[in-house]
Amino acid sequence: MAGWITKGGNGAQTSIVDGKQHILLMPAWFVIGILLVIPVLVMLIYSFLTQDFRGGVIWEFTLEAYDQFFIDRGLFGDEPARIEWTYLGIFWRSFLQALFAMVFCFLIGFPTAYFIATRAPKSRSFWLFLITIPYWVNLLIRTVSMKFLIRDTGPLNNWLMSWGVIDDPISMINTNFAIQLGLFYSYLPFMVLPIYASIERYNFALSEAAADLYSNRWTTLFKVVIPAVKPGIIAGCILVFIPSLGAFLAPDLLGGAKNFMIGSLVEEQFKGQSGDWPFGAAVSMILLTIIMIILLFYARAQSRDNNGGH
Amino acid sequence: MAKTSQRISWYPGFREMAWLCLIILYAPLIIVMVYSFNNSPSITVWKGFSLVWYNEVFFGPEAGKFKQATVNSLTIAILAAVTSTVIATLSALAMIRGRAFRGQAVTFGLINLPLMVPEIVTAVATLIFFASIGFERGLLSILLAHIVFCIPFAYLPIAARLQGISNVYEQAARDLYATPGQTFRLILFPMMLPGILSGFLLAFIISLDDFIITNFVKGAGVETLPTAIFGAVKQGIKPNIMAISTLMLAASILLVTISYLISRMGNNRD
Amino acid sequence: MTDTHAIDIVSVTKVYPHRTDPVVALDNISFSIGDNEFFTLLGPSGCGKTTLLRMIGGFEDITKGQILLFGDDISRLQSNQRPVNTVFQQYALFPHLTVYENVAFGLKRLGRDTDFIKTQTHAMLELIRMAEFAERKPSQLSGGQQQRVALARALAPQPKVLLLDEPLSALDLKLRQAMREELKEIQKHTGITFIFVTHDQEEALTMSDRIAVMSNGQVQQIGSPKEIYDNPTNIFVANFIGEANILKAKVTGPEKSPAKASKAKASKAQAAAKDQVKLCVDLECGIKGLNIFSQSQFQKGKQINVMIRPERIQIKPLSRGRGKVNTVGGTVKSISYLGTDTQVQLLLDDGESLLARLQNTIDATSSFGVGNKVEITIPEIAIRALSE
Repeated sequence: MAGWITKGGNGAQTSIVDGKQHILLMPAWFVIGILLVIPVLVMLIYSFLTQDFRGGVIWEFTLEAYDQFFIDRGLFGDEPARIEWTYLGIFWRSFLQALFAMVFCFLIGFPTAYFIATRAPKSRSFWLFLITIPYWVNLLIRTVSMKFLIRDTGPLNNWLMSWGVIDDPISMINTNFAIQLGLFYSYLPFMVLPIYASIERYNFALSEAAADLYSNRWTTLFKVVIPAVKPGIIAGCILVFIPSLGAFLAPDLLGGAKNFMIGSLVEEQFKGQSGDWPFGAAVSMILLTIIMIILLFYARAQSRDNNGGH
Repeated sequence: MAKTSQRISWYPGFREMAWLCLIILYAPLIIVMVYSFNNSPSITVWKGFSLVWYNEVFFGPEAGKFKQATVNSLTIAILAAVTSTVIATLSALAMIRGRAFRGQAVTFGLINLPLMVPEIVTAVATLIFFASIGFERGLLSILLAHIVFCIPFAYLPIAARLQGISNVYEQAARDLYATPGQTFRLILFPMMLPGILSGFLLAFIISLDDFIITNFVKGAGVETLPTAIFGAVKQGIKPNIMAISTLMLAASILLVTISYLISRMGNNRD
Repeated sequence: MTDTHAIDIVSVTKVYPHRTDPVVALDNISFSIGDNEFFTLLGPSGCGKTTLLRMIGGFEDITKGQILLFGDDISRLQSNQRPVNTVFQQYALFPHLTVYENVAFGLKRLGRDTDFIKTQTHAMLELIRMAEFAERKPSQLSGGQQQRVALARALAPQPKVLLLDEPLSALDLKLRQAMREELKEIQKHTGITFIFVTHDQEEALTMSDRIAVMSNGQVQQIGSPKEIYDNPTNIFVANFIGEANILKAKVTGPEKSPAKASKAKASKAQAAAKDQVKLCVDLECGIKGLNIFSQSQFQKGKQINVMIRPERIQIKPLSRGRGKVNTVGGTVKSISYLGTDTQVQLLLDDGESLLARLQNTIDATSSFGVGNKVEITIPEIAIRALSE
């Protein structure tokens, strides 16, 4: 009998969706493609257009927005070009704020994640539940609550004064500290969850082996535990750092006018008649580029880790 | 007064840090809850328990505004959650079942793209896009924007659930003369249901939560609950805001608890 | 061979494609399974037995070849179009459906009328003695009960062939032994062809009408349990089923006229080993002029392997007297007591190792110890020539 070879779809089917995958994915492709990918591209185009002073754009190509961001030509544009520090400064400050928030989140989040992961399974899932609940509470409400708590005349200052710890209210609102506290508070669960996930998979026999080989607790923590759960720590740091960098609510509600961050700078360009859309688009593009570069490095490091593991 | 332990996995101070973490997370929320029952027009001094601010929320001069905002928020959240859950379910089936296909990695990136792009950038891009094509800003523009960023949140629990279901059940159903359609309807869908429900709830909460994107793409005069609250907060924190916040807080906690119980039920059944 | 074939495997090949090294899971396999047979695919993991079963069930594409079901080509049918049902290794009971709904699932999809579905489902639940569990969910059942429900679910639509993919491997030993009996019983009772996949030789030997021993994507031998055990065709089968001593031998010619004393025994053995020839060989360990069975003819002077089962070797303390038949000298290297029998490691005088098993019968006496010189008798009718 002559043998024959079955082609892909002719033989037995191995899954109920074989051959229909593209149809099933069509809605996701369309929705995300049209409502996110194309808008980002349009935003890129807008960043090269000319500002219309009634809020909007004139369809003329210009590098004006990027020029405004990076280069200072004086008030009337006739002085020699120098580096414009205003916006770079805002980026730098945002970067630092996000960095501080990330470090605080790690310092409190790591012990918390570790503590949860070493509980009995029952209380473990309850702790996790408690940690995740605030994340699902409206971010705006959480930020407003924080603002309420730390105001000059808020409950925190009132208590501290009534207990005699301080004589005059500490001015916490509208400071860098308030922003860091707000960011820390907003994104703390993002740090705890991925670290928890890696510590849960960590084999504690490794700690015992280290102790057996004369390592003390803290050496074990830094030389054995932390290297083993590094992927979770890095994921947590990225999950805190990236939203912090582009945050709007915490800086706006807790930082006040003088502690401007990227989010407020962007928002201002689209508010009312005074906005500068091309400049806002350019700032967004620069922020997006920075974040994509961070994610790219992260993805490469991760795939290297995965390949090394085999 | 931490007592030391012989356990190798024990570290001094970690328990205290965990409790500190809980205190930081919950203290502001609890204080707002407590002060929402304060019987005083000033928000600083405690003057005893009262429901006066809840009365203000439901029947005060601003009640109409907040009622309308709540209706808008709920309408958008329900529609966005339903749509994104359907899209996420179809995508999860295609991504996790069936053969590997060209462009699978790109598709995975695309589904998760709304998580990677910072909210403020998504907001700007969406606003510019709608303006450039002359799309009128209002409830519909908010809904479309919400569907996009709800997709990955709905996708995660659905995909996780589907990955946990061995494909042997589909093979068994096919072996027992079920067509692909019957296999999905009678076997796979009921088994995926806990994941689909928690995906729906997460998408619903995320939509209800959103402030930044909504603030950009909403038209003048159209408010959702978060934008209405933000507008009010800009005038200063008044006790009725705390009452509204407490109500939203209760709603969020209720939904998350339901989602948690559903997923636990689903896991226990296997 | 039976007259009708339930399944014909015709030149079936399965290749798993891969950029650099594609894997050949099945290499041009052909054989037939008779109607009403309890047929077992036996082999180590990765030998292709499960792949073949899944191809019959319609869960894997066939790279090349055909599978016929009672003469009809089913290779291109989807699994829901094949009148073949499967008992899956992990049972795959639908967790959200009750026992009753699980068993009735296939009948409903076939669109049988409601009364028939009811009676048939209840009959199946009776058959596996699970009638009182009809409304339970699978998670409320023990492993053995789930196993029986999986069996009932696959039998309910009255398939022409039932496929069983290592169905007993998840059960503990006691339950496994009980289920063997039950499966065999049900197969006889229903008259359905069973194709059973296992890596457990004891399971295969006790249950099957015929066994196909597979390795490396090829069928090594097909035969009844006795044929496979007594007359393995090659070293792989000899080693995989039971224990085997493989010795080297040289063919000295066709059968010599047998000695009168062994004539009666020889003819008895002949009945079991039809289609076989007899050869005369010299064993390398020093026993000469043996008449042994072989499945293939070998040229005179050819070096071949022969096999002898450990329990067929006889050991006696060294005694005087010369010219003993089929006997060679050796030393006892170790003795291990195994309960029903005793395992003895022997070192032949020419340096070969040999394994023997002595039954611990009531009058068994260990008349030798470690280090003793013994004489080892290898009866010629127990020796088989192996191809390759």
